[in-house]
Amino acid sequence: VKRLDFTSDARSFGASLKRAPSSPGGELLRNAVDAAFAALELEHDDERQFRFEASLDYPEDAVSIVIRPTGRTVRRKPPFEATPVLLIPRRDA
Amino acid sequence: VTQLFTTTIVAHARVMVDELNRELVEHVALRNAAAECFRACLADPGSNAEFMARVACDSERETLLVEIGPTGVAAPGEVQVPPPLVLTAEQEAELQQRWDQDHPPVRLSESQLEELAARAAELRAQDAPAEKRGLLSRIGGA
Repeated sequence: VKRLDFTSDARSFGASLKRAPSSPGGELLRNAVDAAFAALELEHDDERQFRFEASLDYPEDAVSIVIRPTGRTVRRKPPFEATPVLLIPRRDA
Repeated sequence: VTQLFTTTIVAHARVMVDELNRELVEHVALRNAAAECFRACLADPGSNAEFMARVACDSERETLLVEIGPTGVAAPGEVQVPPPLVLTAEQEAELQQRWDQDHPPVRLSESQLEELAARAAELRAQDAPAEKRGLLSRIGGA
């Protein structure tokens, strides 16, 4: 039985999925999870976290995939913005 | 994706993709997901084995379930040929390990070897048939 069991938000999904096993059966299961997640049609920057539970039972030839939200969100740090500094020349300079 | 969608499709492997296309014609992404799951099943696309696919999607709760597996039934009047067993490297290693555990190497003690040799000599003396004599001489190391 091959299993993929992980949590990820939409933005990290690709990287999380890549860490999954890459053996022949695992590769097929990974593709299936990828297609299943696409079926939810989420925005790519969706910050909500999802739970992915997938299994490939071999040689039973049965596949099961469940994707559901965990109720948590993964907040991203805002991009760094430099604060403008006003330089005032010293009077005694 | 609709608010709540659920369907169950039962079809033989050779027509499962057609059935998915027909049943999920308005839900392309779900159809793709189900088709990828079916591919992952490693099912022979020409097989007569019957498969059941369950697809459920709740877009409000953003939960998705896809399950595909054989029902264990073949098409009536036709013989289901099981797919060839292909083991992965790790399965082979696991089987080898299990075999080695269940079949440890047999080592005879000196006394057992002597006993066997003596028994072989005894049988040879009884004028055993030619092929048996050859076997016994090998056992006895004669």
